[in-house]
Formats: sequence, C-alpha cells, structure tokens
Amino acid sequence: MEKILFKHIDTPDQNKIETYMANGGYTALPKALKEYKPEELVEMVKKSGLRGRGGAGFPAGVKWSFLPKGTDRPVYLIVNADESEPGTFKDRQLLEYDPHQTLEGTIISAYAINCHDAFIYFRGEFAYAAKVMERCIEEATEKGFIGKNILDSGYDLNVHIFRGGGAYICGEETSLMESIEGWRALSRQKPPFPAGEGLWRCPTIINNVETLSNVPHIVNKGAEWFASIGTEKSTGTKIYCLSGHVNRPGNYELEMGVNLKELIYEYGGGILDDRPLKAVIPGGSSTPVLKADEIDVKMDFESLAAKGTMLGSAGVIVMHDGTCMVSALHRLIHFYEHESCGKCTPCREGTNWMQKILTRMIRGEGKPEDVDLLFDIASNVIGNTVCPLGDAAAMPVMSFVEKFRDEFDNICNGGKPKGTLKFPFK
Amino acid sequence: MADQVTLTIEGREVTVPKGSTILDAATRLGIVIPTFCWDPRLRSIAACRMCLVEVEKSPKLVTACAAPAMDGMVVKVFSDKAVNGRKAVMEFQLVNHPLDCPTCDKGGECELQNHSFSHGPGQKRTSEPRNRVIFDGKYVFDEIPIGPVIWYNSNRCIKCYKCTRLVKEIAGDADLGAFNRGYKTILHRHKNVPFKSEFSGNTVQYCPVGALVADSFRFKERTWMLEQTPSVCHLCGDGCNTALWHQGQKLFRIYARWNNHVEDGLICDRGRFGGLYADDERRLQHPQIRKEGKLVEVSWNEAIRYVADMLENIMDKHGGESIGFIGNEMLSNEEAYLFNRFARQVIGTNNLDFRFEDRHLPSKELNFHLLSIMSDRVPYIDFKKFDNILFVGADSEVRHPVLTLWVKRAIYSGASRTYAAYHRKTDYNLHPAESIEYFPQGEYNFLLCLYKALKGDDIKDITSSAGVRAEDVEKWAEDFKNGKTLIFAGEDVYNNPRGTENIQLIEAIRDLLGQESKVNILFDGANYIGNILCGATPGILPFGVDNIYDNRKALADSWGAEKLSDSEGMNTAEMLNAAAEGKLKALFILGADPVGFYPGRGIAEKAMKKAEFKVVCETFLTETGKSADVVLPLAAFPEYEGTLISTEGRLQSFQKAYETAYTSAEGWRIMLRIMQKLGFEEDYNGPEDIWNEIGDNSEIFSNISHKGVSFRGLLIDMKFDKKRETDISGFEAVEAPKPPPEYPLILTYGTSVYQKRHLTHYAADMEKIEPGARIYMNTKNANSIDIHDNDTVRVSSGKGSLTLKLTTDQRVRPGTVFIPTNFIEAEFNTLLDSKADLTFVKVEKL
Amino acid sequence: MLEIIKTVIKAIPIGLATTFKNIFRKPTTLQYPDVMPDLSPRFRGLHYLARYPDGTERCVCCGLCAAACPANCIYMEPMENEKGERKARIYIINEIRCIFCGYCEEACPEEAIFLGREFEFCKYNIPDFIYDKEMLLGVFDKIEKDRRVREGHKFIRNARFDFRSPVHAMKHPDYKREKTE
Repeated sequence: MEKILFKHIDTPDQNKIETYMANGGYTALPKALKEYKPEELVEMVKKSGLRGRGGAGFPAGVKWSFLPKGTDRPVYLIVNADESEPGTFKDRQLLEYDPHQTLEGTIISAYAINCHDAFIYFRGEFAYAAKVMERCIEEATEKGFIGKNILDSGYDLNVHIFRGGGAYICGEETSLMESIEGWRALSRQKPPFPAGEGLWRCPTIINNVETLSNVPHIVNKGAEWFASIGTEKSTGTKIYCLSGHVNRPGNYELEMGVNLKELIYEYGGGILDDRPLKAVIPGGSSTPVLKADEIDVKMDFESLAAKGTMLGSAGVIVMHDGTCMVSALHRLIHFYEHESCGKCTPCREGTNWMQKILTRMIRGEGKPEDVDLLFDIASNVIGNTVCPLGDAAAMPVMSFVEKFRDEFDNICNGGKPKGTLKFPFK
Repeated sequence: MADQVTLTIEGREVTVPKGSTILDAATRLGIVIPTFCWDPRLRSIAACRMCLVEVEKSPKLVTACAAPAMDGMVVKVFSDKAVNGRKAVMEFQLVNHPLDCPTCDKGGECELQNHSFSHGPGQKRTSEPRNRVIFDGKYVFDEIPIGPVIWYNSNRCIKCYKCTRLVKEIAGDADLGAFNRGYKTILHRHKNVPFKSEFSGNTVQYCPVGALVADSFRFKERTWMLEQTPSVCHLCGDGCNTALWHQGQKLFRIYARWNNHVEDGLICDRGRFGGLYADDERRLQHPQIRKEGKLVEVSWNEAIRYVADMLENIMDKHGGESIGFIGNEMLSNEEAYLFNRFARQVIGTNNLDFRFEDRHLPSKELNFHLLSIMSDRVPYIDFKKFDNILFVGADSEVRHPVLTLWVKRAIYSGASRTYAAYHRKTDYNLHPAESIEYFPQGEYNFLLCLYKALKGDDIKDITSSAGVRAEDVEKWAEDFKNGKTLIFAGEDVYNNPRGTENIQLIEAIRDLLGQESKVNILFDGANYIGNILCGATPGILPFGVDNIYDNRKALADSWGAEKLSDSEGMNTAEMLNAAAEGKLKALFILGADPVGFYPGRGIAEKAMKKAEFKVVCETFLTETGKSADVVLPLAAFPEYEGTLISTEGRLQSFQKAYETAYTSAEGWRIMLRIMQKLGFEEDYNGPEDIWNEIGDNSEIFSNISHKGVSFRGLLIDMKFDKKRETDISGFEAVEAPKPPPEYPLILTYGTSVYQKRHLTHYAADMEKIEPGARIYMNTKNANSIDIHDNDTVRVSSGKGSLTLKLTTDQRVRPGTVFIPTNFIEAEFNTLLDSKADLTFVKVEKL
Repeated sequence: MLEIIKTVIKAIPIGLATTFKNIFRKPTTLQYPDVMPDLSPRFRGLHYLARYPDGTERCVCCGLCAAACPANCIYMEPMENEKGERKARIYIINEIRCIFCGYCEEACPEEAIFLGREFEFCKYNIPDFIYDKEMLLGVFDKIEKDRRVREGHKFIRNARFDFRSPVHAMKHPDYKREKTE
C-alpha cells in the first residue's frame, strides 16, 4: 500500500518549501483555488469520507457544512496541533518533518470554508515544531501561498501561530478557543457548537493536523480515490502510534481497518522479550482497554466501537504480562488528575478521589469495597462533565476494573501487586 | 409562535420564549432545580453540574442552566437517573469541603448545606483526609484577608466562579482570578493587589458557600438569629433596594434586596458596608442645650420647650423671616413636607433649603427645568436602547455606582458606546469609553462647543476656552448624529455658576439630536427630586407649584393657615451669607453640616457664630453641632420609615427596622413636637399619616398608598410635560480660568466612591477601605515640582492650608488637583473662597 | 346506717393491711443531704462547657444550642481569638429559665456543652443563676478535678479518651457506674 501522508517523511529537508515542491507539493492549492468553488471543495471532502483524526472521528466535510450560511461574522479555522494524549505522537512527526503538507491542507480548507484567518494552535512543548512552522509560513508567504490575493484568485488568508501553555485540556476544542482568546483554558458548555459560535463568538472550524494534511491529496487525486482506501465508513489511511511493550514502537501509516494483531505482531515486531500480551489500549490513553484475547479486531472507527472501545487518535499502547494493571491505571489517572482544568465538579473532584483510592491500593492499604467504589466514582464522572476529559478519565477506570477485576481484588485483599513496574508514587 | 417553544417538564407542558433555558422553563412551572454557579445576570458556564436533568433522547444528563429549551423536548427532573446524577455531583462537591459549618458565617444560608440536605447522598464514602489548599507555599487552613473588608477561605470554595464572573462581567474589574488547575484550583486575588473593587461586597452575598466573608459580619452572629427589613439605600441617589439584617437594635449587615428594575441585586460597598454607621456607639444619645458655653444633656421635654420658646421669642422680635431652615437631601418625602410646613406655615418664612454641599445652587427657574427634563427621563432598564451614552459633568462611577452598572451592562452587551466629559478622567477602568477632559467648571464652554459642532458651525476658536480639542468634539458630534443618544447631566452641570445656561444648552442639544434622544439628570442626594416636589426649596411650593401669590393662597387655605410669607426666600448660600451679616437670627438645621461641607468654611463658621440661636438635629455630633445652641439626636435611617424618590424618578418606601436607639428621635417627630409647641394644631401618628396628607393634596402622589410602593417602587409621573422655553442664541464662550502665578493649580473636589459626608466614617469598614483623605495630582505636575506618591504635602490657597498625603494619578487633568470632600479631618472647605467661582492652590512638599 | 358501719368495719382491715404490708419495708425516704440520691446515668444536671485536653475550650459559639433551646435561655456572642479561631466572647445560660431538656447537648456539633450531674446549685439571688462562660468552664474543671482524684488518673493514662462527656466515659472498659455517695 502506498503511503499518503508519510510518503516523503524521510526525505531530508522535506520541511523546506523547495524540497516539498520538488516532491509534488503545492500542486493541490492552485488546483483548488482555480478549479473549485468553496462549496465544491466541501462537497468533495464530504464525498471522500474523510473523518476527523483527533479522536471523535466526526466527518470533516459534514462539520464544514454546519457553518451558518450567509453570516456577516468572520469564520475562523483552527488547526489543533495540541497533541497531548498519552500514547499519541503522530502530529508531531507531521509538523516537524512535513509541515508544508499540513499548511497546504490548512490553506485549502480555509478557502473551502471561506475563512480569512487561520490559527495553528501548538502544544506548549512543541517548540521546535512551532519554529519550523513559523519558517514555513514565511516561505509560503514569500511564494504567495499565504497573504493577500493568493495566486491571483482574490482570496486572502492569514495564518497565525498560537502556542499554548502546555495543558492537555487545550486539546479540547472549546478550551482551545478560550486559550486563544486569552482566558484560562476552561471548556465551554456545548451547545452552542463551535461551528455556530466559536472563537470570539464567531463561527469556527477546528480540525486535527492529520485531518487537514489529507486534504491536498484528496484535491489532487479525487474523492473517489480516497474513499477507495480503507473500509467503507472509515476511509483513507491512518497513522497508528505504536508504543509500550513492542519491539518496534513508532508511527505506522496504514490503511484504515488494519488488524490490531497484525499491527502489533507484524509491524511492531511482536512483544518485548517475547512475553505474552496482556492488554492493549487501542486509541490513546483515554480509550477503554482490550484484553489479549480481544485483539483480533480491525482498527477502524466502527469495528472498535463494536468491541466497546474507540479508535480515538490511534495511539496503541501495548502491555505485556509483567504489567500491574493497578499501577498502570494509577499512572493514567494521575495524568488526568493533573490535567483536569478544575471547572466542573465531577472531573475536578472525581479524578482526585480516584487517584487517592488508587494510591492507597498500590500502597497495600486498599479495602475490599474500594474496587466497587472506584467503579462507582468513575460511572458518576462519566457523562456528567462539560468536556470529554471527565469521560476520558473515567473510561479507562471502568474498563480496567471490569476486565482485570481479579487484580484489583487481589491487591485490595492484601495481595502483592503483579508485574515488575515500579510504583511511581508513594 | 415562531419565537416560542413548547416543552414538557415532568409531564407538564410549558411554553417559553426561544432562547430560554430548561431552568427558565422549570422555574416558570415552579419546579426547583438546584444550582450553584448559575446566576441570572451572568453567562451560564455550567461548571457546578448541580442542575443535571434527564432529557429524553439525550444519552447524557443535561445541565438545565445552559441547555436551551427546544420544541418538543421531554425533560425529567426527578427521574432516577437525574436524581442519581445530582446526588453524584453533590457527593463530589462534599469530598473536599471542610466540615466547619459551626464556625462558618454562611452557616444557615449556605446553598451547599441546603442542597446537600435535599439532594446529597447523606453518607460519606471517603476515608482520606480532605484536601487543604496550598497557596504561596503555605497551607492555608483558615481565612485570610484578601481585601480590606473581605476574608477568603479557599478550602470552603466550591469553584462556582461566581465571584470572578461578577467582578469581571458586571463590575468590569479584574480583581479576582482563578489560579492553578484541577483540584488545586483556587479563586484568589492577584498577587500583591488587594481585592478592592467597589462592588466587592456582592461577591460575599452571592458566594454560595462561606468562602468569601465580609469582615463586618465575620464571627458576629448566626444568620438565623437575624431579622430582615426591606429598606432603600440613602447614601446616593440611585435608590438601591436593600435588606437590613438586624437583631434587636443592632444592625449586622446590609444586603441587596434584588429589585431587578433598580439595582438588580448588586449594591456598591458604600451602601453595603458604609450603611453600617447606624450601629455606631459614637452617636448622639441625648438632647443637649448650651448652658454657660457648654453643651449639657437635658431631657427631651426641656429641649423641645427651650427650642420652641426661643423660636417664638425671635419670631416676636424679628419676625419669621429672620429664621432659616437648612435640611439635607436625604430627608424623606414626609420629612421634607413637614419641614416645609414647619417653615412656611408655623414660622412663616420662605428661607428653607435642603442643599448645602454646593454654593451655586439651582435657582427656582432651573429647578423647574430639571423637573421638566425629569418628566421625560429614561429608566435604568432602558439604557441599552440607546446607541450613545454621554456623561457631562458627572463622575458617575463614583457618585452613581449602580446607575453606572446599568450603563456598563449596555456597553458590555454591545448595544451602546459611552462618552464621558468631565474635568478629569472618570474611573471607566475596563470600559471602551471615550473621554474628554475640559477645564474645571468648563461645562458651559464644552456644551457650547458641542452644540455648535452639532449645528455644523466652526468651533476652532472656542475650544481653547474649554480646554478641549476641536477634532474630538467634532467626532463626538458626528457620532451623536448617527444614533440615539442619552445624555446624563451630572451634578456639576447644574450646581454651577452657569447652571441655567448649561441646562438650556443641554435641552438645545437634545432638541437638535431629535425626538429619540433623551436627557437624564443625575442627582447625588437620596431624595433630591422628592425634596423639591415636597416643597423644601424656597422658590417652589409643595408638589412643584410655583411660589406665587395665588398658589400660596390656595396652599394656605388647604393648610388652614392665615397667610404664608410673601418674601422670595433664601437658599442655603444666601441664608449663610445673611446669617454671617447678622440678618438671619436663628437657624434650624436638620441633618445638615454646613460647617463641614459647605464650600466656604469661613462663611459657615461666621454664620454659626453670628446667628443668635442655632438648633442642630444630627445623628453624630458634627462640626456644626459643636457650635450650636441646641443639639437634638436624630434617628438613623433604620429607625424610621418613609418614602424616597431616586434619581431615576422611582418612588420607593423604606421600612423601620427597629425602634430608635438611645433617646434619639425621628426627624418628623422632632419637628412635629416643636411645631405643636408653637401652636400647630394637627397631629400625625407617623409618616403614613403625613403621606396620606401629601397624597390628598397633590396630583402627582394621589392614589399612591404607603404600602403600594413597598417592594418594587413606582416610577412617578411628574406631570411637567410642558417644555421650558430655552433661548440660547446669545450664548458666547467665556474665558478659560487663568490661575495666578502664585497659585498655579486649580482645586477640584468631589465625593469619594466609598464615602457619604461624615456618616460613613462611623462605619468601621470604611476606615479600612479608605484610611484617610489624600490629594490627587497628575503625575506630570507632580514630577515637575519633584513630588512623588505618598509624600506629605501642604496645599494652600488664599484662604487656608491643609496637610495631606499625595497620590499621583493619571486621571487628574494636568494643572488641577483633586481632593475628596468626605473626610472630616481633611476640612477641604477651609481652602475655598466663598466668593470666587474657582479656587487656585499651590502644593508644596513638606 | 347499718350499711355504713358495715362498710367501715370492712374498710379498716383493708387499710391496715396496707400499713402492715409496708411497715417492715426499708423506708424510701432518703435522708438527704446526709444520704445522696442514686442518680440515673442519664440524669441531666448543671451545664458545663468542656475543654480540649490542652485546655482550650471546645465551644466555637456556633449558636446551635441557642437555636435548639426551647426555653431561650442561652445567649452568646462570638469573637476571634489570637489564633484566628472562632470562640465565644460571651456565653450565658440562664439556669433558672432552663428546663434541662438536653437539646443543647444534642445540637452541639463540637461536643462542647453537656448537662452534668450536679444539681446542688441553689443560690440566694436569682441573678446568680446566670452562668457565664467562665463559670460553665469552671464547672467542667471542678468535675475534672474531682474525677481525677477519685479515679486516680485512670482515664488520663489512656490516651484514647479525653474527658469530653459521661457518654464517652461510659464506653470505657474501666467505667464503673458512678455513685454519688
């Protein structure tokens, strides 16, 4: 299978505009501006079946078509490069090694939704990527791809870079907008959805880096070509971020719907030290966990949903049998407790409470009723919060407790924790 | 029905306007959904998640406070899922909330207590110790003061963000913010900046838990021990509805009563904390008579008899015209009416006035102008209908904090723009307001410039006399032409040597701008209009009747009096001058302090010395009281009842909270007893009787019962529909003030936002907020004479000098200095010359 | 007439039977004050305000006892002590008005106020029955002192118990039913 996004990722100097253009870059932009009207582009992306790669998997074209028609307010496009989900590291590679691809996608998408100010919101830690992108924007401006009257089409666009302060919550679209507006990144209650009332109360579209990087290729090769890749409902390719106890961790761009078993054992080179597999988190830390006997599953949005988990951002975390699930969960919850924004009560207090209980468990002070309590707290958090962070914290807890209940019970009844992982906290 | 939606809540159908939330719809049905972070005046943020309800076809529970009501929605408030959701949220709220209800001053009125009682799980499942907030590297177990009058306990905070939002979204200040993240979040002031917004007290009232506590109520009394009495704040003209919380004869706190047409639940710190002066022990406790040069405590009988005898003596000797009456603008309508009957009928004089803080008092003609403008005024809630809001001669944030809140609301909603013209920059801290600063007392020249600019005349040669730039005024004029304009004419417009001209100019500007534009007059006193309408000015008889022979005759007939005085009558300035010259023999002063606050201390002191007999009724012993012959203790405002008319023209009544403290007596009672000793035959049982008499005699107040105005007030129709005639053809710009070389600075003075005359000084909180008088000077001026912040300086004019601490302030216009008037120890009026319009001073470093 | 005599003759032995039944019983009258009565363990006597083991008073002046009091005999005013804690500045119980119902004891969230076993506090003057904070703490101190002397510091050595209330003392394994003799 031919790679789409990672085709030139290993080419040296691909992040320079000359190399990018020599490799066929910036051919989609003139084509889009000259041959298509914005509505046609939206229709094309809709037809291609491109789904958001940030986690929720919402079709990008459909999202764009939600913009209010005939509004007199400006429309904004935000590129969400605040990739902070544990186990996910695809956007970083795209932004550092092939940023022009993303930029071209941004420009075409901005044209499609008739936006004149696009923002690229970088995670605080992506200092290098932001620097590269800054240079890229300069280069593109020099070439006339950004700025006033792009390629004599009469279309103007400014691309702004915005660097966050390094909070996970900024990856949530409404918090990201609050952050750009200059406030504390507290997520907003939806509705109103950003497409209706977003940045500065104006219609706003937020897309992931990977989603927008696909757009130039769709324009170049057509929607049908894109739709032909992958499964029926999950089209195109996906960058799978493989990490954990595998021999060859890393980013793998594969067709949608690749088998998870194949991904781990073929592309990932099998489990570290050839130990037996215990669990896999298939889509970044916030998705429910899969047991070893459940991994014969296609990695696309529908198949994973059928298994009770999610594709998310496709950050596959592999754990072998030496892993203590209690302390793995403890580590995850510590992350969510630390990153909870503090706005809504269930997430603020719930993550902290779960963390306290898990800390107690791994210290060996757990009580038998704590396992049920933990599950109950998580089920109280889920669905009751403003933004998905609360759900993200609660889902792994519920799935861990459900699927590895014996380990939790064992620890709470005075048993020794399994595995070799050191407890990170006292 | 396009703008209405119908939904079903708990099996009952309700139709609400589009854009309402589920909470609004439920409230309409009388279904109570618990909330913490929701406030009708603030944008919903759905942070507390307490209002979760179940909506059919929605997989998750929905927050009622933020979810818009949709057509055909089926909402279940008490289904198991919804109840369990709220129970879960309540449990989360209580996980880290300390159990210090016994020591918490919110105990008893705490929303967390109430909701946890009715929605909570009832049992705790935590076994860990509760989290403690770490701030500045230290554990904060107990309250810490975050402002001069506010204490903060971050452990109790449930993070509803109401305080930060109130301060930011409504008051426009940025004093409070949220810090840290997750469960470590605290809401706190910014580092090294005290929480000093003039609306800081509201955060205490609306904090759902005891995280923010007022210093004046901290560890004082449990809330369930207190009684509430509805009252109206009398410390400025805005007429905020307040509730007095008291136990017995002790006033504990003043809260907003939430009249959403007036203050909308938000009162300023002056009213909230300053009003507590009524409780002070330094109050006058007994009537005192000067015997052998000393004030000696006597009984009421003796005092009243003595006053009546002395007044009768003077009437016999010199006639009633030789007695002057000075009241104050806080007199209730009933008191003002009796005051006027006392002077006009019993004594037989027209020398009565209720204003004493300004020298250039409006004439009779100007008062009629004001009343005629006020007949066509704009109520608070309609401010947002105007595109432009212009303030002239008004330090509105200081003198009318709550009225300014309504203006801010209009600005923040994007409906209006603000323009402020004053002799210094006003406190529009976060406002997108344009401002023009003219010379002190340059209102006339500025208005003339604006008028001419609106007419399209060239104003280049007259702007220099106002000290403004022509292009600014022309830009404003251009803006005003495009859109509806509301003009606020402040106190400095009519209390001005050219007051009549100013008002005529304003009327002319309004007429130029067209029918849609309106003028509102700002009145500083709590009952300024009421005092005019009830006859407490020399030129106008009660109920806005001109003081001419026929009207006097009719009034005398209705009162059953033989004859009323035919003289012109004198206002306070004239009375004090006459007394100083020995023409007035006696002064009856009701709640006024001319020595302390009349601009021109010299003349006031001389008047007090020269007059043969002075009666002062006061709550606290004032400078005037110290030189009086008889001092009578006056009741403080919680101790009597009456009606007031606010600057909005709203008639409101305030109730008596408790009996008069010590042996003080209400103003009407003191006057009535003296009047009866002097042969007045009628008797009143209380203000209600007087009010009924007012209602019987006047067209304006007829058919309004005392009880009828109790809770929401009534916008009165003043029935001065006829526009006064204005002729401004001959108006020419006057010369700009030129300070003499030895006194290079122009002195300006005005109230401070926290103070009302000497009264608020007796409230303990006010001393903490504003510890002493200062002089404010522009940074440029200060640097040029090498004076810096907090230096002690001597301010001197031709009349006297003062030693004050200096604050450099960018807002003060270069070439002027500003002194707040409301400090007893500052005695600002020693600097003022009672003859000249402007006072020039010099400032030296000590 | 005859019937009346019959009735009387019948009634006399019945009456005397009761007399003879009780004539050999131990008298129920106690020779108080020479003999002290045996108080029930739940007897409610004079109030006292308890202290923490370090000597600070427990009462935080929350006003719940006053709110619970059906006789309105408690009055208090709070203050802030030097540590920044809320304590009572004035705490008054009018013992002559008190009906000794014990609601204050139940309402108290800090386990500060208790009704002790003292009932011998007659006074000559009614105003003397108004007990202020110092007097109420003094009652506690006196009870403490008596108990320490009597129990030989038994409870003190047991760190888990402080002398908060008779209820606590009753839970203690060493507790013996107290008899005022």
